[in-house]
Amino acid sequence: MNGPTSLDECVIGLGDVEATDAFGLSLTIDGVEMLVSTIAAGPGVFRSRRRQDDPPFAAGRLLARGDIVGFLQRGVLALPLVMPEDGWPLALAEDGSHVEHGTPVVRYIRATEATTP
Amino acid sequence: MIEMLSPAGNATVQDAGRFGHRHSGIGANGVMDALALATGNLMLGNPAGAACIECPGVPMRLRFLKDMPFALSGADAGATLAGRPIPSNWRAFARAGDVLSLGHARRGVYSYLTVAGGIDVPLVLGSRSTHLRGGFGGLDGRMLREGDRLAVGESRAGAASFGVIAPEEALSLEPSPDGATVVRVLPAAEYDAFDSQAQGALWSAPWRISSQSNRAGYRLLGPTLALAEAIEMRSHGHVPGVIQGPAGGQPIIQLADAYTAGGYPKIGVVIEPDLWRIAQTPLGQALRFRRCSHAEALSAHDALEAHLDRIRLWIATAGLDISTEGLAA
Repeated sequence: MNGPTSLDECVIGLGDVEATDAFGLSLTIDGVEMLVSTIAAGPGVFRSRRRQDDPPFAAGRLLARGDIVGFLQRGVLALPLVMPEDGWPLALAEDGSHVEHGTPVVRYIRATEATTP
Repeated sequence: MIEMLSPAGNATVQDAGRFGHRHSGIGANGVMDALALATGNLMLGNPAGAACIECPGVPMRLRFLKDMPFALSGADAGATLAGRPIPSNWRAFARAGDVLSLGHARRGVYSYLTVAGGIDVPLVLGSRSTHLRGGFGGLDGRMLREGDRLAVGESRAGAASFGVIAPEEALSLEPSPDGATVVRVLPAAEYDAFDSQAQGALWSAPWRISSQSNRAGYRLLGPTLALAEAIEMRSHGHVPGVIQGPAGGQPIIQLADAYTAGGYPKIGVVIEPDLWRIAQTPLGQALRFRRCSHAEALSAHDALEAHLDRIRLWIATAGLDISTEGLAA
């Protein structure tokens, strides 16, 4: 079997991952947990998009620290949920779900030398 | 201060409008989407009519020359600030030197950039709106262009970042199965002068917005609206929303830059609370007119005001770091 000859060539295939399951996944590289969750800072409705028929606002791209990754809707207001560090969102809470303080709403992969192509 | 970095299409400085001068032949002008202006100013704690930059759906770039809160409302133009995406109907904080970029509108037509303190151009006849035909108001009475610098009013607004619900979700109407924008219309003074086919077509046909449309009015493509018999009319006053049936039979909806008077017979008038829906419907897309009563028109007005009140209340009670100037207005 021809395996990867260095860590640079190592590709980890996660396959199809249910969004809810992704919050339970763990990935450790050199002893550092690479999958991190952000939590809601208060009660509200989690929204991944600004309008119901929009795509998720932060879909499919590397986000920088401070970029908006989702929204906490309170009444007619939408409060920003921002990335605490650079990373790729792996899973989001269900759009429209009610969340409380501490509810994990975003699971992302830290962008480090080990995870950046 | 704000510096325009690119040609901005037909972007202009606008506010809520120039009122009280129709008797002199000076129309109101003002923003095409008054709800978007009101929303942007509410998010910033500005007075309701503070002036903004209206961008008609084409790419535009500008640089903030000092730190300032701003809001984007109206169309979703895929905006970025210093390279970071900014959602629509959103208030954010710009640092001196940050570049705001708007792309082609992805949804809607007119985007509105409001800034804390408002765009500070001279008042002309009580308004900062650009009167393009008259060449006054706004910035030297003209469209904005690369290199322009716009002053910004004083403000104590804070750095909060948040958004508000999209108006089409908060004020939704029963949609048309064909995806046309639905607006509510009252029969106008000469409605009965049109033949029965024209009357029926007004309510049943899709009306496509032609390319011969601008801030003055939207010319519509659809069935010909014929009069039951020819009538001669003297020119008379009209207002934004009036649907005229000119000799060619293709209706025209008068909008923000409309002339103050005209002589074509009027078959209907789009109610004021729905004018923003027309403003945000792109050229080539269809409108459908839904007949309503005066009572329903007043109820629609109340619903729009209630929507703005909800925004005002939520902002006031959410503990966000914004100025409270203007919120009690």
